[in-house]
Amino acid sequence: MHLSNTSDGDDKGIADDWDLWRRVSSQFTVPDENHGGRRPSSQAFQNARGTDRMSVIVGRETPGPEQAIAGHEGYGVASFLAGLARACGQSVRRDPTRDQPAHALVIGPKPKTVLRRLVEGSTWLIEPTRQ
Amino acid sequence: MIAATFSPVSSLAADGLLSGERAAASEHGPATQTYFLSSQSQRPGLVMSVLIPRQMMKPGWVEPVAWRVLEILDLQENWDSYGARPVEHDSAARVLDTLAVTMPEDGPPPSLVPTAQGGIQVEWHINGIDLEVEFEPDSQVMDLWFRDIALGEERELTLGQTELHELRTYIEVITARRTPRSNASL
Repeated sequence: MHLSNTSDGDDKGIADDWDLWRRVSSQFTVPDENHGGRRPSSQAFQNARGTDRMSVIVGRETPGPEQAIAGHEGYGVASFLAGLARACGQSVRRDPTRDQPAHALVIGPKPKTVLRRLVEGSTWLIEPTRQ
Repeated sequence: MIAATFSPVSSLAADGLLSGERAAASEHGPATQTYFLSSQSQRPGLVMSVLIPRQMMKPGWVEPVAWRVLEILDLQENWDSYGARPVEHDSAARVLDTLAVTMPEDGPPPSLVPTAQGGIQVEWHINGIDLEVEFEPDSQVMDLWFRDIALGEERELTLGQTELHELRTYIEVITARRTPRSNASL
């Protein structure tokens, strides 16, 4: 069980320098000839439909990024710092589930400026494979 | 106008317009002057198809974009594992029709990304420029973001159907900077 210290919905027990892992469908990758390779589309970090919440996993509390995509063939994992999310005006809150105790939420509106900052502040731990 | 539809497999097979999982572009009747691209849907018994007026097949970007539209339209509920909606046909039609009037013949094909809300985002990240245009479902406007990395210029605006010339201008900037080895893929 994790103890949390929430303020305004934000869990300060998740430190700014902790990695948050986002599971990314291959549908959300695009070629980036400006920097080489493929990058997440800004749409990869959008809130779930009809909500102000984006699902993530607290990286340090997960055995490895492979667990984040278990059962999701072809998906990838993008990592960004909790501090980046907060700098974008988001709250970071634990939301453990039965299947994923390290599940968390990045909560807040995500206009294009926020989405692009998350793209530019993220790195691939596992790059999606095209189906 | 480019049209994207679902059709029952049986009717297309009877017309000789379906061959294999992903049919090559083939002429759909001499009278209609259209090309017909089809692809077997994930949904049993259905085929995705895009009809493109013949005069539109000349630009190199049309066919890869049309194939990508077919892929996107075939995505089913929860395709992103977070509850995303299937992409709406109207969104796809708007994308195709908008690109038809804004893309230069030699323009680099954009990437097409489905959105969780059922729309499509059209993107280029090439020639030192980032350009994203989001087509939301049930909306007649487009949200555009443009960044020229070298010049440090960045713009964000919303365009209506009467402002497509502005989008064309940004795409022409990308095309004009194209180097011989540039060859964006979807």
